[in-house]
Amino acid sequence: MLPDTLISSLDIAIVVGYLALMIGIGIFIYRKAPSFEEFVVAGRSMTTPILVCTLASTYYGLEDLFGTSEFAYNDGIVAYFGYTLLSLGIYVFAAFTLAKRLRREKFISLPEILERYYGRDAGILGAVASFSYSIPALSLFALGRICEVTLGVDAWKGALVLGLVALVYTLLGGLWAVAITDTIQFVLMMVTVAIGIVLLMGDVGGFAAVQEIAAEGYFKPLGGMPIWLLIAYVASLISVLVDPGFYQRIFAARSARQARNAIFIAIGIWLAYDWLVTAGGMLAKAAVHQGMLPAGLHSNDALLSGVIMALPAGLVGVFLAGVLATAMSTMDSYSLVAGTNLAYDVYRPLRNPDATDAELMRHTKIGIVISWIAGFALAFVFDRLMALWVFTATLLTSMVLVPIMAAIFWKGKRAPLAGTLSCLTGLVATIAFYLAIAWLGVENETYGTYIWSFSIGGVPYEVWQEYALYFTLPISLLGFLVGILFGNESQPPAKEVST
Amino acid sequence: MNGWDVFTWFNAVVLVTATSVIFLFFLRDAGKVLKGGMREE
Repeated sequence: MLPDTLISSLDIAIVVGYLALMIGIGIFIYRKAPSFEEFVVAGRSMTTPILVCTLASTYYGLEDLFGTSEFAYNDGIVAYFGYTLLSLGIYVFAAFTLAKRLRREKFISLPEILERYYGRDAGILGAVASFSYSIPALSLFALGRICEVTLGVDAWKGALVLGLVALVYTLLGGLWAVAITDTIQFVLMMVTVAIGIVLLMGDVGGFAAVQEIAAEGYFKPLGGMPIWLLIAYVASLISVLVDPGFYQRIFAARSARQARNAIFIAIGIWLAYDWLVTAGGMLAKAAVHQGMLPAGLHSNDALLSGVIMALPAGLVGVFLAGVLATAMSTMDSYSLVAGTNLAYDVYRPLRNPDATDAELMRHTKIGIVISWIAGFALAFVFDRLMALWVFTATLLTSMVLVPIMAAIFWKGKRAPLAGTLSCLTGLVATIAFYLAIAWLGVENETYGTYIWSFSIGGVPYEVWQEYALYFTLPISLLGFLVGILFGNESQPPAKEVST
Repeated sequence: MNGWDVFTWFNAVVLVTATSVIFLFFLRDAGKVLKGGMREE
């Protein structure tokens, strides 16, 4: 826990006030009695500024706040010039290629793309992958961990209370409540990070102090890392191209142009924010060297500790509310996606194709609660959460990336078998790859992964668990091509969702 | 103040300014949408 002197009662009062405001927003939206489409995709009425706020906050979760700053603390500016700039390229691609097509066809969810192009079986397989990916285990765990570090509360109790607040406003207000709370989080985080980092820079004596203690390569844009390694690292972020929460925001846009503009503006915001997070990690290192922060500080806590140290009382509370909201905004978005998957993508096609608006709303809310309970149970029972998240992201990408990109870009023959086979081969290949690496490889404690080492003709090779997509995506593509060759051609009906 | 300090100041000013402007537009748009109903036009 951080020293009590850093957090005043004023800060605690601000955090409590913030939580009450979140519930109030949920009640406000609930009283407007949203329909199913309003609940799930905000009635497709979101304009560019609203989308910017919800995109910027949902996709910049704690892994960025703590992960990028930790990367910068240890390795320097490569965290920004290598990792951030390359990863934002994926969003530029999405803005140019996906926004227009996805918004035009008025989908409700990512699995619905599969259902409409390849039929019910592919849609349900996609829904299972999307639901697994969206269970909010990691964000609930992170919420608890922040409560433990900053407030000294048991992690599970903190996650229970704050997670329930997020659950309540999500159940009450759906995507609109999520978007409004995301916006508050967006403003809190951006402003406090900007002020906190500038103050921290003044406290430690600027970057000159960092340069004095910097190791070789700390100020090199690629930090001495080979470019191919960075590309391999960034390739793991390809899951953004099939991220169901990202798609949900495009579906919620008032027009394709508004969605595309929002992605571009969000990229500009991320560029500025990411530099500040990178600078925060580097400046915290100088603060540790100068004895302003404890010598044993974990690099993961560098930014949090540095900014809390630099900010005055009152603003610390605003920053803490922003950090808590960062985890809550990821959690609420994905539990809403998971609820939609169970109701709209599994219950409706399997049990009740003519489900009414009220039935879909009720089942979506039941789905949100189920995903929350599953997330909470996993967060505090399962001890390899990061590995679990990587597995579900790999599973989702392996199963749906090929058929969804084909649905969007493929102009040739359309066969339902292609979509189903692509999903199935992606599923089987992912499970087979993970089992094979666990069986053939050796667990690496440092990286928390499995590595299979072997040699061919005296040349040593290593296959990491993280390389899964290099094997599973070609297999999923092969499944798709086999389906195209042997499947019956059909044109699934273009369906409009009734509201 | 060296070049990295200036770059950090620049990003901080850009971030606070952009956030403020976007938030003002957010308030305008969200107010309109929530008052007039949440359906697409």
